[in-house]
Amino acid sequence: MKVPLSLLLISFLFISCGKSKEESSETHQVVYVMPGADTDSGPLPGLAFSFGTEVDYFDFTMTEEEKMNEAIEIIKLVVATEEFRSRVLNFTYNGKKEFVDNNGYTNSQIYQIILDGAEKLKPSKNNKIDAEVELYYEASNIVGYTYKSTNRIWVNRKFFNTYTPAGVAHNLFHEWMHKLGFNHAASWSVSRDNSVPYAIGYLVGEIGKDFL
Amino acid sequence: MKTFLLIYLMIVTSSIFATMEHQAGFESKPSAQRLSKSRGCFAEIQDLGCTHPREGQEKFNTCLSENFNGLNSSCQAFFKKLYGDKTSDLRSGL
Repeated sequence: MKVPLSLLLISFLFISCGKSKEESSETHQVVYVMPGADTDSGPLPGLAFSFGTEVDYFDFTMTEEEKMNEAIEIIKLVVATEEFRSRVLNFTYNGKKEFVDNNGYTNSQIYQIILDGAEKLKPSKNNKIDAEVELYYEASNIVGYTYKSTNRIWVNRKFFNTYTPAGVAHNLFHEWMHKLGFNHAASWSVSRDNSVPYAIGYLVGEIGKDFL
Repeated sequence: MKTFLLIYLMIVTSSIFATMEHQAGFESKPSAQRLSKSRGCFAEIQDLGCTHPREGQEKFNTCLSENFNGLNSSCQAFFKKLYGDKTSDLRSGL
């Protein structure tokens, strides 16, 4: 049994190395901000009001579709609030005004990246969420997941059915932050909760409760 | 042979999980008090003649600014937290 165990440990090491290599090879994109367009202060930028979605549904019943529509509506309402801008711009972790796993971006740049809506796999800045969402059922604690290589987001019916539309919005936004290139640690830690996908997904869910 | 097959399956499963970007957890539901407050404030601003932001965010913002002083203090605080200071609006033309 000693040999297989060693093999297993070596295999895990290989997998772990492969993942960090993939992450470190990411390049930082330059965020273009329109001249004179200050998204940090003053009235909300127009992009916050025009923020839209183009989401295709897979394996949804009519009722489920209605719930997802409501969640998407909540996302748009949240992005159009001053509270969302303010909480993203002022997000602080460990005394620093920054998110964990921020890919080197400031809070202000992350806010602009959200408004731009340029997914890694669909990099045009079209000010909207472009995604495919598929429902599935699994008796696990995974709410939803996606992969770097696809625009599709899988949402677990186990949670979708019990969540409020704000909770669904939270999860959808979390997964969409991955589509924008933000990652987080695989296992739970306090710092993971402060990563871009977790923290901003949480903000959407929290502010979204005001629209239920 | 069985052991190797088991190890192979574990490696493949771990590998798939490692490339998966997932979210785990449960939703913290809004309290009845919070729901009552937010719904009450949206109802109050609607009573003052504004439509819900779902029916047009810009229209709502303008209407909220115009009717902000007519809201009770609790709803003023609610909308100020959500939409900022509505006494000196408005949105930029971007």
